[in-house]
Amino acid sequence: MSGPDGGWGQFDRFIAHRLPALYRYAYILTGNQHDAEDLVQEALTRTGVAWSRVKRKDDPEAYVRTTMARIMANRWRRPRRERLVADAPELPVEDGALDRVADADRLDSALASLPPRMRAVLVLRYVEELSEEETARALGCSKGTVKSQASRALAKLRVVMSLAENRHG
Amino acid sequence: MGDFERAIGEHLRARAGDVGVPPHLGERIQTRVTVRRHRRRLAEITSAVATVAVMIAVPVAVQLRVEQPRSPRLAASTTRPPRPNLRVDHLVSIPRELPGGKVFSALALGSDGTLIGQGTSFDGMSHDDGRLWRSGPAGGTPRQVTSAPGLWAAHTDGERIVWPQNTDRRHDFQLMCAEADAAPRQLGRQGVAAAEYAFAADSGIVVWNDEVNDTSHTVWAARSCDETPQPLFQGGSGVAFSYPDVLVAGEKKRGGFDGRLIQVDVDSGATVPLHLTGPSGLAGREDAAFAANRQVLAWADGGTVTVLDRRTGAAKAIPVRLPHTTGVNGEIRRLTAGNKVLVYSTQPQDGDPDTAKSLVYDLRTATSFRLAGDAYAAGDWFAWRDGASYRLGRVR
Repeated sequence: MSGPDGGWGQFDRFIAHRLPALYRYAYILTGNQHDAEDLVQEALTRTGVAWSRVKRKDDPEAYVRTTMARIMANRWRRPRRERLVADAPELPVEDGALDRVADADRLDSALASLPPRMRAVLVLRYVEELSEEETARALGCSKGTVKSQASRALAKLRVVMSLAENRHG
Repeated sequence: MGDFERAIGEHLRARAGDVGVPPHLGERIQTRVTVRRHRRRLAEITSAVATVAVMIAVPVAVQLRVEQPRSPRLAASTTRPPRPNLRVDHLVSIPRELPGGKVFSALALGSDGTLIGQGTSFDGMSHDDGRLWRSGPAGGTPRQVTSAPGLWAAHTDGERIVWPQNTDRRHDFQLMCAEADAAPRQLGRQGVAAAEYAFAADSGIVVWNDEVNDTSHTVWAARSCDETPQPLFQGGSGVAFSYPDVLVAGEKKRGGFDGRLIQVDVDSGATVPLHLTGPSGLAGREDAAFAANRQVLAWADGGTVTVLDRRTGAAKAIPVRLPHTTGVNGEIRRLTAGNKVLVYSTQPQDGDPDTAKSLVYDLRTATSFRLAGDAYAAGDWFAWRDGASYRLGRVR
């Protein structure tokens, strides 16, 4: 506690200073502004409610980021039924996808098609550059789950990029 | 990290570079924090007072203290007799505090009174301990059954416990099975569909739906954790199981319930189509919560419960509004059926489990009441959360 307000003044200052960065992070996790707003709002609300118990108040940003990633990951953990889709989600492809990444819009829609947990794994692994162990800890799952989710996510992205490339000749 | 992975990371970072914070978002967050802190304080006071009231009143048969519909939460703390009452005997207490400091959070109740769940804590976000715990009609602190990483649902018939778990790269989940003190075994290799109703256990038999993307809607059955599973039905998804009947919703080729309802005998494989009469069918209800007993199949969605009499095919919507909870991930909804009552429970996904709410519907009297906290029914048993404990008893 940093004062008679239970440290909540500190929480308000934290929001004032870090909201833009946290909102951008929520945007990376969700891929759209509406969901990003919901996500950062929920994560910061939970943090604010638990502020007296958030141990590292000098660096609560990591706590909020982890909360956001967990919220995203759990959207997948209690999933709705999967629906069949027209294109097979996983096909073996040559790893020649690097050149296709330049097509940003195509990649955006491929990322948007991923289940939330897969996207959260991608963000933690390749944006935050966390190790598999750190990602597993952050998401509250096993290292094996992180590996399989990352592998399946990359496979899906490669397939979508490859199919789109083929359609464009 | 390879080039493709690095490019993905750079792309994600770049897309967020120029997004701006919506106006007044910071103020809205501060307001929500204030409101939620206030609600938590009220809930803590309510829980403490209600627990004291039940401890004073423990007799052979117990009248539940309930939260009346449309009344303030604090009404649950009064000593005024609730209406209606559900009479419960053979009452035991199951403390929620677990060795290691987590708190027992129930997932399912078996028809023999076995209560299973996982350890959780909540400090603004929920943390699960990745372990399955069980208690039962003898009461007492739950004991650990096994570790179950990523646990989000489980069912039991007392003889065995089943739950989905991520074990391989090809499937989101495989169905795990544990009985007695034996090590858990995986049932089959086709995966299990990602829905709470997609698997069940009753009278020693486990049934489940395989992962939709792998095969064309096959319901499987196994009579032990070691047995090679056998396909029971193709072209539909099991939505509920009350031995010996598996209730199956017909599936369209590309997914989605087509409106058919088939009753499959798990012993003989014989099928009987059920022709529904009444306001509600199953078409398009893939995201509903389902439950069955020997007489009825019930489903909850869109804020209502529908009860189908399996003998006559007559379906009727119960004239009650289901409680709901809100969270950024939506809510966890569970419907359970005992011999005498249906119980609907809801809590926010990844949210504070102490904010759960339930509605209990008495099938004999067609009356209902609400409870603060989660609750479950199976066979003659009924379990509900009461502050620092679960209470478990037989419905009279």
